Amino acid sequence: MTDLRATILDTLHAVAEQQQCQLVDPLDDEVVLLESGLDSLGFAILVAMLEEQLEFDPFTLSDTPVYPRTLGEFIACYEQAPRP
Amino acid sequence: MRLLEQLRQQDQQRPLLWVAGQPLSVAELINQAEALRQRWPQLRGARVALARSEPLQQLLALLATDGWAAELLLLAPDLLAQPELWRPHSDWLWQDDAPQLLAAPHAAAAPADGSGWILFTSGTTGTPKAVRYDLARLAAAISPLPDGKAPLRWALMYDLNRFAGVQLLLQCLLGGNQLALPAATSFDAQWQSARDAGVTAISATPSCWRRLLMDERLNQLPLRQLTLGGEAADQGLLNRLRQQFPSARICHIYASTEAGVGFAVHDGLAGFPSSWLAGDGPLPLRVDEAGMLWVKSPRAGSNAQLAARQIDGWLPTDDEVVLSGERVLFAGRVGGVINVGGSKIRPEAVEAVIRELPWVVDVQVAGKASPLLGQLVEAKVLAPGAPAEAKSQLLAHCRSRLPTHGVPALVRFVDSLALTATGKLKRTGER
Repeated sequence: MTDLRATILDTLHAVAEQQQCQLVDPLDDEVVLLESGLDSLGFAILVAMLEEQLEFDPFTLSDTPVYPRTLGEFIACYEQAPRP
Repeated sequence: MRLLEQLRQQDQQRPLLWVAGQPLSVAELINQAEALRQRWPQLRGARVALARSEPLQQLLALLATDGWAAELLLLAPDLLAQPELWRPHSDWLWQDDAPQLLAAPHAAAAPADGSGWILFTSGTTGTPKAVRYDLARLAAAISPLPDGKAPLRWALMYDLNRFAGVQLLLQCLLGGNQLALPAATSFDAQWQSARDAGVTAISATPSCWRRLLMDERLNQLPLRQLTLGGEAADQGLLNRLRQQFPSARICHIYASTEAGVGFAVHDGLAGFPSSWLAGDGPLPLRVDEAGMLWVKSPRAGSNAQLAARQIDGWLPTDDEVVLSGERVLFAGRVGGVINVGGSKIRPEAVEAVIRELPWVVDVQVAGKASPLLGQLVEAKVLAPGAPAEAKSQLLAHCRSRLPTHGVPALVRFVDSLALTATGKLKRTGER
């Protein structure tokens, strides 16, 4: 597992705990985000927390933002984002 | 103006609603509303709070009471827990199958010139406010469908009891369009209902649109009209929607419950043309020295507080704007009101709740920019003697006292808080 992936998954679990959301099990790359157990507020918090840790946010860097559908796509957004 | 009278003049067989994927005609809707009137004649001339949780039942109660009751209150389910807000305006509460009498009934008389409609604003101080309208004014911006134009089938992604939901409802009842009514007011039920009905038009907040874009089933809908409102629409989102729906009509609306209807922008660009400030736009607009937008709207709702804020017919919007070339862009709310996906809250309201915890020395709440929800509530807490479980205690306390969007999304314990020269908390998250 890459460091980036581990950071994202750790933060995802921390947000789920804070928001009192029950994540689906297993939480693999094919899980559809809207069905992962985290609501849209939870996702917004996840992106904000990751921005603090990683110091970038792939969703505001592009003119035509991408909206990932699965957890795998979400992680790929971070892995493939051009760093500022 | 009365809704049932208006509906009687329409093609009785036209499908008006879609419920669980099935059409409901104008005639069927009128019949069901008439049956409710016959069943509850006591509501005539009374003040009725409508709080049915299922949107179809709420709509039928609305049709039965409009033009029949003296006043009707549209009560979102979350307001039920705050009776001090609506009890003073209500003789009856219609929550379950049978309306409940709350107070001694008034002398019953049907209103001569239509019922008063009372809607609640989202309540940025944490306390929603009642605003009274009449139907003619709420419907003023709605024009009938031009001959030969196919009606739009709208998804209802808003609460039927809020201003945006009411506007869309009237657009369908009076403007010749159709509405897909969900089984409940939740994102999942709304999105299910939209897909079941095969909607051709969606009106939603930018935050809701971002969420819809995360679902590939959005591609399967034959959308002709996409409307964004309730928050500033950013250029990236507008570009993304244009890319996905190249031939659809896309517009973003600026409106507030207080100002009545605002205006729509159709050119695919964020903000609105700066020439509108010179009188070139759909309604008079101006910006004051502090950068706040003012509107002159003939459709403003009425309450005493609002009347006091008007100056020569101009209404302050509390929205701050900046000029950028040929465009006027929305920059945030005056006084730092935080807009979380279309739901607004004052930082002071959140701070007051956090300060109730005995170990909190001080706290500063601000909006943090979010690419998904516009803004999030961030709290910086000064609490040297905080217990180990401080964060979860704080969140639990906020959850019990604040609406969901007001609960801090990010909590940070800090060693000091920035103060201004006069010793006040610095409002840094203001945009």
